[in-house]
Amino acid sequence: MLTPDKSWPLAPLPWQQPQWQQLQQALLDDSFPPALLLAGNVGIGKQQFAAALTARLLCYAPVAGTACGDCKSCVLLRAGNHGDLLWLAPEAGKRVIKVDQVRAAIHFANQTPGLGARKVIALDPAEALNVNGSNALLKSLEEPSESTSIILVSHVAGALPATIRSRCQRLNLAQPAATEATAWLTTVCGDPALAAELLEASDNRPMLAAELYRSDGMDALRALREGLDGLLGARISPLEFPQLVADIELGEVIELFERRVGNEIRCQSTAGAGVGAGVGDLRPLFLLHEELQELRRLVANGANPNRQMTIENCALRLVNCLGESATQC
Amino acid sequence: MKFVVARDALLKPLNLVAGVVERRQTLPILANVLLVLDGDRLSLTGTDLEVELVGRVQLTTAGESGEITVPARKFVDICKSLPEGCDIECKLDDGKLIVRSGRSRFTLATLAASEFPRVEDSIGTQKFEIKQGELKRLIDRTAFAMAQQDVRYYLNGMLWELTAEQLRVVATDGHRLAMCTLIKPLNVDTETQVILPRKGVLELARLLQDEDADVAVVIGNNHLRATTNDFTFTSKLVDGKFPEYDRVLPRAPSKIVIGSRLDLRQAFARTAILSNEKYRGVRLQLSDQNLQILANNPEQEEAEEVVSVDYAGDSLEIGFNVSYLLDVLGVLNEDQIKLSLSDSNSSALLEESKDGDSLYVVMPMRL
Repeated sequence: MLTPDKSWPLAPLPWQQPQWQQLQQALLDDSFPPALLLAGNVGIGKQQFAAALTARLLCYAPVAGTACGDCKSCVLLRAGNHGDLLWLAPEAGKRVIKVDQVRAAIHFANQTPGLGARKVIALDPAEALNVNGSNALLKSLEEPSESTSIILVSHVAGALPATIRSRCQRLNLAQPAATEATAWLTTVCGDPALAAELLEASDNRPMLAAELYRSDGMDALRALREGLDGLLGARISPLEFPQLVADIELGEVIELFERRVGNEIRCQSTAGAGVGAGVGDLRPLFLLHEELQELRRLVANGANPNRQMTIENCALRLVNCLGESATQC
Repeated sequence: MKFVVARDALLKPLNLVAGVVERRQTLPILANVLLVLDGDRLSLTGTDLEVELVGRVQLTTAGESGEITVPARKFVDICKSLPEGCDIECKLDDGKLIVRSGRSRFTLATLAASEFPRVEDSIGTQKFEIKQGELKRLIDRTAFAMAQQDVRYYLNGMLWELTAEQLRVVATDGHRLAMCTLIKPLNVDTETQVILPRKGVLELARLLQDEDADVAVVIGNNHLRATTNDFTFTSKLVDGKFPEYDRVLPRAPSKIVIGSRLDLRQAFARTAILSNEKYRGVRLQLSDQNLQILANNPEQEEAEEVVSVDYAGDSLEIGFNVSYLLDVLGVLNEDQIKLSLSDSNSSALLEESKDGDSLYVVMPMRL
């Protein structure tokens, strides 16, 4: 979530330059889409892109295609007081953008901008709209007044209602190449080796990696992975494992299991054995992977299973599936 | 920043400005009022991002110029509760505003003035000046017909149409329309149409209190600004296009009825009591020199009124929402009113019988 005290990003991330240039060109040609859908995986910097774009759109005197950072508009943006921006996100502790918030946005869209020539509505993330919210928004999305730009950020653009998708111009933001991401992350954490490790732990998602670095989550994660290695090497029993991860959130533990199984599948299927031969052996792994995915989704949606039993169960299944055959992936 | 101001001189503009500041704020700084001191002129600004109000106070002695924002509610409450006739000294010291008066001392938290979202000065393309009374009349005569939270958002406001010789305002909610025109050379070069949002209309009407004083109006692409000696009011506009209102004005109505405004108003008010509470329908039966008004409700209760009117011609039966008729009769103030009709499916035109400046259209109801 963007907060006023955090410095407002004015430029896109290095790997977003192609998309950024595309939009700059659209601005020059006066063909900037009234409703823009930024789609891509979670943790690759869509929010930063949206924020930089907002600053650019509202800035009085953009310099070389990015916001200047000094004009009244940029000052207000950084102070979190810009009257021509409405940044819609779920309220603290909530998962959906309420229909009342959407109504406020529609009211905002129907009035002229207060300070500059343009006003911006951002929805972050767009999938947080419920059915009522997205229906209420349709009309404004379809024909917003000339001065309005609507930016939707979505981690799972495919899951948005077709009525929303068809009213937006979609811009896909790609996951950065490992080298680019490492280079950027090095500027954040200052150590290339640490950057690589962080990236590896977060599936090459730079924003997640940066978050991990800022929250000092790496040490806990390292401990967790050692625990997992111990588990597979039969040094730790599945019944002891929950104790080891006592202070880590259930969702994260499940995600770790899931990632480990995913890695295993990747390693085994590419390791020598012919395409046909390997598939049979991998079936239990795929099954487990699917189950873990489902479990993680349930937990993310607010299910509250018995923690001890869930982790024990996962650990047991993992050991049963992999046992001695675990590769060193 | 440092200045001394008389409590009684400060209180009125401060109250006005604080009225704009809403209690439930989305942005913390909107709960603040901006104080700007330029020599001996102090200005106070409050905004809710839709409307902005600047109040001005002339100080007796110049202070140290500067600008800062302080919590509006608390500042008002402090000034209000200080004794009448006292002087208030304000001084900015290390990011806090120290307010002193007699033996009282308050320290208020502040936020930077540069972060206050106020409207820039260069907003206008059209400028004109009229009397406050004239502007207030335009608003009072039409504001009731504005729509409220209609999905056709361009109806939730009032159209201001500006030409070289006249200023015309129009409000409609789709069922009735009110229009009032001020004929006066305004020295503007191009015709302009803007829609002032409902909230801006109501706030502005509240501010126009001195009938004979001037008000300078500036209209830009995104704002309307009204300036008087005491305040500067700025409102955003509705970002849309108003419907072509002249197409709903009845063309050449065939039946002209002239009647006493007071008699009609009272008769309508009485029949309204027994009309359907939800639809408010009344039936009008027009015949030579007579207007019969009938109403009934689902409980089978009935009201009947007969009013003498000046009419000769075919008889006609037509239904109306009585609230719309009463709204119109409530704002007109001449003795005689003119009601123009054609048939039971066409809109009625209401106006003052002698060349008035206002025009009202009410759609009929099918009963």
